[in-house]
Amino acid sequence: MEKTIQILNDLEKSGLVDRYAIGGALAALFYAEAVVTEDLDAFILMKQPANGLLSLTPIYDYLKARGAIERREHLVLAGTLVQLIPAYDALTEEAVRQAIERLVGQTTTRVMRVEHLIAIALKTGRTKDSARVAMLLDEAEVDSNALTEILNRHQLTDKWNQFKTSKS
Amino acid sequence: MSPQVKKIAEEIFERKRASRHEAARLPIEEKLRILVGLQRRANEIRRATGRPEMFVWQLD
Repeated sequence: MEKTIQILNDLEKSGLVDRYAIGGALAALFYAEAVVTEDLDAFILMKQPANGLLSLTPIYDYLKARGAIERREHLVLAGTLVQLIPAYDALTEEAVRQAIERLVGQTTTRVMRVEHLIAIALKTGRTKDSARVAMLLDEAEVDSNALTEILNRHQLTDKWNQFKTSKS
Repeated sequence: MSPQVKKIAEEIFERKRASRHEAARLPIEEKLRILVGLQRRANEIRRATGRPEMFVWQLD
C-alpha cells in the first residue's frame, strides 16, 4: 500500500496531475471501522493541456511505465487496485483541494476530509453511499459547522434533510 | 416484549456500538490488514455462490 501511495505521490510530482486525494471507501477507512472494498479511488485534478484536449492516456502511460497493469477500468498499482477518477464537479474538486495529509506507515498521502466524504456520498445517493454516510456520522469526528457549509455551498441541503428524515 | 428482554437487547446493541467505535480508532495500517482479510473472506462467499472474485490487495 505504501508503494502504491509513493507512485501516486510521484505522479503528482511529475506534473501530469495538479493534485490527487484518496476518496471513497478507502478514505472512509481513515475515519471509521474497516469495511470491505475492492479499489482505492484516487481523485485527480487534471492539468489543462496546451491543446485543450484532456486525456488520461499520458497518466496511464506514466503509471504503466512504473509497473501498473490495466485491469478493466482499474489499474493494479503495486498490488493495489486503483481507480483514477478526475474530479468531475465543484464538490469533488473542492474535496481534492482541501484534502488533508495522513501517514500510512512512513508515507504521506492525501485523504479527503470526512465532511466532503459525507457530502459526496449524499450527492451520489446509492444505497451503499447512504450506509457510508450513516457509518461516518456514527463513528467519525464530524465538524458539523464545516459539513453544513459544504452542504449549503453545493446545494445538498434537501438531500441532507431527506437523509435525516429517512433515518428518523 | 418484556422490559427485561428489551434491556438485554439494548445492552447488546450498546456493546456492538462501542466495538465499532473502537474499531474506528484503530491505526490505518491495522485497518488495511483487516480490509485484506475482509477481501479474502468476501471471496470465499463469492466462490461459494459462483460470483466473480474480488481483487485481494498485496500489502507491503
